[in-house]
Amino acid sequence: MARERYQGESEQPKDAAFFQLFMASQRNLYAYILASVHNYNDANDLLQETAIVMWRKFDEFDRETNFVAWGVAIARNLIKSYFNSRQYSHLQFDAELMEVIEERTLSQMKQDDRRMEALKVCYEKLSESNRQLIRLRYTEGKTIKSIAVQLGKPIQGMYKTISRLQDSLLRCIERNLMEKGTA
Amino acid sequence: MRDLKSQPELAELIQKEMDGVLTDAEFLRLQGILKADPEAVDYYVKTVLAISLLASPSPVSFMEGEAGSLADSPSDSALWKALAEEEKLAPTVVPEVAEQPASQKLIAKVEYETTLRRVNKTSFLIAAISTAALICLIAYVQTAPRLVREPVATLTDSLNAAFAGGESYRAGSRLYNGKESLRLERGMIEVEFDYGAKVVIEAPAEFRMESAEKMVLQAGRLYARVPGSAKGFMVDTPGSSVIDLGTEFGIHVDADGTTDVHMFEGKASLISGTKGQTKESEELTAGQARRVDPSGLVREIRKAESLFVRSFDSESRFVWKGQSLDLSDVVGGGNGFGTGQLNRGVNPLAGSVEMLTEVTASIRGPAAYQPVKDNPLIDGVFVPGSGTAPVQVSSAGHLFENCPQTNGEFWGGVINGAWHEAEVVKIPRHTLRLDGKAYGKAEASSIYMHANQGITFDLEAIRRQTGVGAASFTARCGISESLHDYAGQLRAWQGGWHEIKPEDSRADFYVLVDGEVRFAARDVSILDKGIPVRVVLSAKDRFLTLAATQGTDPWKNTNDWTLFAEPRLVLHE
Repeated sequence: MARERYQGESEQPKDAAFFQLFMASQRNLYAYILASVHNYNDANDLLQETAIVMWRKFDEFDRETNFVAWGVAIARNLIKSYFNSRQYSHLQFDAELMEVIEERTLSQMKQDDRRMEALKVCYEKLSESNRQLIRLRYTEGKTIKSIAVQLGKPIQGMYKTISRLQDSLLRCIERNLMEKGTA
Repeated sequence: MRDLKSQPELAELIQKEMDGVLTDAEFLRLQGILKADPEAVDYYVKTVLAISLLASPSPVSFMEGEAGSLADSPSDSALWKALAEEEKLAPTVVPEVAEQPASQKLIAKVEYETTLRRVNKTSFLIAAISTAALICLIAYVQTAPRLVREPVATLTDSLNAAFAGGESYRAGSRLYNGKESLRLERGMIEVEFDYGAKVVIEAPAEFRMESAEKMVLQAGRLYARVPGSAKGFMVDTPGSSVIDLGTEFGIHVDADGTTDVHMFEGKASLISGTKGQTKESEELTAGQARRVDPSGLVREIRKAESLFVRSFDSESRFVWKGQSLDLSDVVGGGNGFGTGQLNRGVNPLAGSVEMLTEVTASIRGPAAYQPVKDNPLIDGVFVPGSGTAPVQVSSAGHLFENCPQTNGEFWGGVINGAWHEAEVVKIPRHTLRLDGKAYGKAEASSIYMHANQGITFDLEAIRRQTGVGAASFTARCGISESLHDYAGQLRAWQGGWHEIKPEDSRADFYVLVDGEVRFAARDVSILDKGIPVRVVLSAKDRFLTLAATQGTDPWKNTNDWTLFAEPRLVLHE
C-alpha cells in the first residue's frame, strides 16, 4: 500500500524525501501505466519518463498530499502525449472505457501489499517448469514468441499455455485475497 | 462471494496486448469484451496488477535467479554491481511481429529497444535502502543507453574552433548522441542541450553527448549553466559523475583523468569512484571545489575564480571568464576589458571621444543631451543644469527629475584618468587621490568628471557585446584629497578672488538607472573621503548614468575635483 505520507520529519532533505516516496509508489505507478498503455515496453519507458518528470517537479509537490495521485496525474499526461504521438492512436481504448479502467485500477491498487503476499504464496505452489515460464515472461521480460522459440515449442500454443498459467495464477491470488477477507 | 471466473479468451488477448501483437480485429474484440462486462474489466485490471507485481519485484524478491540474488543485500555496493551488470547486458531481445495476413493491420511495428529487464533494474535500485540511491536512480535512468541515434543538443556559438578530423560545426549545427567522442583541438564552443543546460567547452577537449541531459567529458575543460528546469543534467568524467541540482559549475579533466570540479552557484552532487569500487557521493555548494584523482580519492581544493570561460561572443570576440567590466575603460574608448586608452574621454561639448590632455578652464556646457556615437557602449553625455530642467539623461528621453540647479559649467570632460591642473591659480598637473590611493592608472582606474557633468552607459549594448548582463555597479566616489596639497592656493572667483579651504568645497554624486536615482551623496566634502557605491541592476535596466554636480556651497563648481574610482559592472549570466 503506497504510504500517503513519507515517514520522517518534514525537514528531511529533498533527495531522501523523493526517494522514499517514489520507492513506495513506483509499483503502483507502473501498474497504472501498464493498465493504460497495455504493453510492457512502452509502460517501461513511460515509467522512466514519469520518474524524471516527478523528480524535476518535486519542488511543486505539496507534501501534505498524496504522492501516488500526483504521480498518476503526471503519468496520465505523459500517456496522453504517448497516444497522441503514435500513428495507431486509434487503437487506444475509448475514453469511457479508459475512465472505468483507471478508476478500477486506482481502487484495486490499494490492496497492493496483500496482493503481493498472495502472489508469493501462489507462486510457491507452481511447478518448477511453470515457475520457469513466469520468470522468462516477467522477470526477463521475454515475449511469448521468443519464449516459444527458446523452448522449441509452437508459438500459438505458447500463447495458450502462458495465458492459462496467468489465468490460474490470478484466480489463486484472488482466492487467497478472499480467504484473508479482502476481495 | 464466488471465485473469480476463468476467462481464457480474455487472458490470451491480454498476453498479446502486453507484447503489442494484437491485430486490429483482436483489439476491437478485447475492447468489446471489456465494455460489455464489468467483471471482464475487473479481470483485466487484476491481471494487469498481478503482471505489474511480477514484473517489478519488491525489495525481498521471492523469485530465484538474478532478481533474487540482487535483492539479498540492498546497499550501495550492490547497486553499483547492478549498474555494472547492466553495462554488460546480454543483447537486447527484439521481439518480432507474428506473421499476419496482409489484410490485417498490425498495431505496433515492434522494434523495442528496451526490455523489461531495465524496469527490473530500476525497481531494484529504487528498492535499495540507502538514500544515495536516489542519485544512482537519476544516474541510472539517464544511463539507460538509447540505441536510437538522435540529436540531443545544438551548437550555439564557436570561437576559433577546430575539431579533429576536420569536422566543421557552425552555429545551429545539431549534435547527436553516440559512442564516438568529439575532439576539440582549438578554440571554444558553446552547446545548448535540448533539456536546457548550456555548456562552454574549451580546447583541447575530448567529449561526447549521451542524451539531452547528459554528457561525458574525457579530457579538457567545460563550464555548465543549468537552469532549474533542467535539473538533473549530468557530466561523467573518468573517475566521477557530477549531477546538477540547479546550478553553475566548471569541470577540468587532466590527461591522466584527474578531475577538478568548481562550484560557482547552486548545488550539485559529486559521485566519485571508478567501476567496481564502492562509490562516494557528496553534495557540493557554491564556493566549493574538489579534486578526484584517478584512483577515486577526493580532496578539497580552492575554488578558482577566473579559470573557466563562462561565456563568449564570437561576433565581438569577447571571452568572459568572470571578470568584471571596467567603465573607466569604456570611457577611454574601450570595451570595458582593457582596450580603452588612459586620458581619453568624452568631450561634453560634442559628445566626441578624444584625448583630453589639454584643458584650461571651466566652461559653459551645451544645453542639450549629447549622444555619443564613437563608442556604442556609451549612450551620451550632458552637463546638468546647463539647459532647462528637467535634465535629459538618455537618448530614449529619460529625465533626471530633481537634478539640482547648477551654473551649467564643467571642467575638462569625462575622462578615463585622474589628473587635474589649474594654471590660473598655479595648481600644477597632478594625480588625484582618494583614501590615500592614487588613481588614473590601469591597476587603479577611475573616471574623473569634474562637476558639473554626467555620462550615461548603454547596459543593453553591453549585454549584446559581451553576452552577459550586469548584476550590479560598484565604485567609490569622492572629492580628491589633493585639494589638501594645494590648500594655500585654492581660490574661487565670485566678483573677486576669494580664498577657500579644501573642506569648503561641496559636490553631489548621483547614480541613476533609466532616469531614476539609485544612489545619491549630496554636499560631499573632502572630509567624507571615499564613499562606497553599490547599485544592484537587473536585466530590465537599460541606461546607467553617473553624474557629479556642484553642491550647495557658494563656490559653485570650483574645486569640485569629483572622482568615480574603480567604477565596475559586476557581470552575471
